[in-house]
Amino acid sequence: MLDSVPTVTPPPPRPTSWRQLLLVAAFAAATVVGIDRWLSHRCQGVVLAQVDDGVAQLAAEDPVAIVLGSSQARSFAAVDEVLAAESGGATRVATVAIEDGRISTAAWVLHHRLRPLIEQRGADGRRLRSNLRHLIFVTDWWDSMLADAHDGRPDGDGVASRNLPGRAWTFGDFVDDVAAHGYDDYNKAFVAAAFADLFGDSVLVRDRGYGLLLRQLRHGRLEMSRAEHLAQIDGKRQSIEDSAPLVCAPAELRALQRIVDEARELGLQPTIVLYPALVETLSERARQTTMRRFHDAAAGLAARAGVPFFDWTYDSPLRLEHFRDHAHLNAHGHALLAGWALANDLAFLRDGKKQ
Amino acid sequence: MSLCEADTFFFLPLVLALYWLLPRRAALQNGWLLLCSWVFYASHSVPLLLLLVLVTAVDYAVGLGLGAGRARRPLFALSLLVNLGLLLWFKYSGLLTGASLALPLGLSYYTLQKLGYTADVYLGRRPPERSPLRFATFVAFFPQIIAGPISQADELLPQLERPRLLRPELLASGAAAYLLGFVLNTFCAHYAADLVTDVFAAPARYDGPSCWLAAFGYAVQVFSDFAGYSLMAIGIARLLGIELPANFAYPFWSRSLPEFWRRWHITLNRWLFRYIFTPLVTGSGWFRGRMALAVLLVFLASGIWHGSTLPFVLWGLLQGIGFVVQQRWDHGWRGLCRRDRRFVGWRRTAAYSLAALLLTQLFFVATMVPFKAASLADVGVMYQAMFGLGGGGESHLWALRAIRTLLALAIVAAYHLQALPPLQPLTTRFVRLPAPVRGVVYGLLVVFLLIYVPPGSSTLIYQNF
Repeated sequence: MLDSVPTVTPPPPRPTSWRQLLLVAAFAAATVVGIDRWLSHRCQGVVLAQVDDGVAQLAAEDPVAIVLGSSQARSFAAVDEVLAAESGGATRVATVAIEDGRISTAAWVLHHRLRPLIEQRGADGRRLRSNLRHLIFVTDWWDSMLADAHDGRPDGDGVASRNLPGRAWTFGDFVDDVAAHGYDDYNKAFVAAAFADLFGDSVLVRDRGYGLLLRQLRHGRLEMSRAEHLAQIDGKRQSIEDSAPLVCAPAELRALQRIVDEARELGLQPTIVLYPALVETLSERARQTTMRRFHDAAAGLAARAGVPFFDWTYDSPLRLEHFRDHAHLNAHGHALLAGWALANDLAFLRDGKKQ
Repeated sequence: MSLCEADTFFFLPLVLALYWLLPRRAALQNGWLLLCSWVFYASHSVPLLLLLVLVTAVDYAVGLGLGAGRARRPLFALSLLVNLGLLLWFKYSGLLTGASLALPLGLSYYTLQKLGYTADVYLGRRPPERSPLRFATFVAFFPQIIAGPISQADELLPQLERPRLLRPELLASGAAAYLLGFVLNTFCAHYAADLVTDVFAAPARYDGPSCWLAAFGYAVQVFSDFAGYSLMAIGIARLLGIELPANFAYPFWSRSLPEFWRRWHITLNRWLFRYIFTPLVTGSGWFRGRMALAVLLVFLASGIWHGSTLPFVLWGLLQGIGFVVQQRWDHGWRGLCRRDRRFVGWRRTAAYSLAALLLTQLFFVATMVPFKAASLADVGVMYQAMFGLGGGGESHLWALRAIRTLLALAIVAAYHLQALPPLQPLTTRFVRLPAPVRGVVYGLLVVFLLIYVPPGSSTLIYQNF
């Protein structure tokens, strides 16, 4: 039997017709599209707002504040909803969330993507976004870690993080970078992100790398089971402790200063907010090392710069059931955080005044 | 750019669209292919593209000079010097200088492809290629430049002389080959690696069965990675109306090492035997008739081609020794057959076949250890564990519980099973199913890949060689 195993793969082409080929292709495409559409109805959307969405929101509106930060900044979409409902749409908050975070990436986004819109003027010479008063920078310890030089690209002030091309660049930024550095693994991330954007309506393409579709298909829910959640928390506890030597990278702290300075240059009141942590992920050692180091660095910078600083790490009303994973909130958590923030530290957004 | 990253899905449709919209003239098609191939290569490095163009020009000129009959030996020596010199410099200068150079992408492959051409012209097997366009396209053809398959001049150059015609069976089989290769390269290789990485990273921690599982997993990973990539290359070439040679042919059914090396990385081994082994044993030099030594030399060369470190040399040596032992066994068995006809029958029994299959595969799996291990010390640690002379206490067998890893192994097994004669009709039956049914199956496969293959999961182990 094994004497007859073919010695050539793939086999030579078998005769077929154009009609057959087109039928196969059409039914294959129809299958993919059909399943994609079915999944989009069957499963909750896994649409995660990205930088481009925040920039588009800022371009379309005249908000009182921009909330800039990592993926956790998405929580503030709920703040925008509350304010818009209360004010009949007069008071809005634009949310610019950067997947995979990093303060230096946020500083880049502020300077390159947001600043032109903030400074945009009408025919009368006045700023188009005249309501804009505040820049709220939402961050946590993760954002301050030294970007791995193998992942990013060394720049003049450290390492430009790996998420910059795929999450924050425009096509012009990509072209400029290729012209300067050649097409490499760093700027290639822009092409990968552009490819995914081509199929932006596809729930299958959007979910790649997140795995949320499978969870919904298998278990009928977006959230992890309690057992999975606790297992993930266990795993994160050690990594947060181990990150103590890596937080407060000088380049990232300089980026935080740049954010503050640039916000002021733009006539905005900067505010620094430390996002609530899922306290179950924090060992006592992590609290005393990783978290304390970052708190002290951020608070110290805010104090020297004279900007409001709110540390929500331990003080929020959020509990385990409000988190969908080790660090991000579920819908209930977003709503709870929004209500609590607007009733307390972010109350100034309601009256739109500079704090 | 590789053949399965996001940028390829922008690049490839553009290449195909213009290629088939051009007038059906070989020169136009070759010109477009060459431009696209150089863009493909430049996406990795523009300076190294210049190097590629330069060495292409050298071998083009050498070929013409050989054809003109002038200074044949010095010209061939020049080609050897330039090609092997570059290859040796980039791959092995680090051993002398202590600072290793980044290997130009595809250097190991296009060097052999060009050297094969100049050798064939030198030996009078083929006339020199007069068209610089065709020759440059032959060298730089983008589906194969990174990691083969390595074409012989007589396979590819004649195809480039003729205009390629668009036929539906080429698109159908090309797309199918690409899709199958994509599954192997991005899914199977990715999840097979779960059996491998932890153990090879810290072999002293793990017990014998875990080390065997890691070696087995690595064999599957390398096969999936490289055979998958080869299928993608062959598939893309078919979409362009060009046939590349097969590079893998169900190697896990091999019942002897000679058979294995006729089924695994076929084009490299073909090159080594055609241009090193055969001239050695049939030439007038010292190696004439010394088959065993020539085999050892060939596999040592293969090991060194893969890498400059001692584990690769050990790997080559082991393969060579195994090959020679196999040849001695076969020779001895033939002697027994001549004395007693019963040995002829016994060799044809299922038990003999099964024993031969298991021994061959076990040998290959065991020799995957030096192929992957970081050092000879790690090789020793793993072999001690594998052969019951030591080993750590930790087990990694739990990695087999992962559904996706099992599915990856199942796909590779199914790929091999469908090649068996009793099951080959299944493939024929599938091809004869109504087009809508086949379309739905392919669509489901694409959905499977979108769900289970995260971005960036493709690697190409062999592009590092």
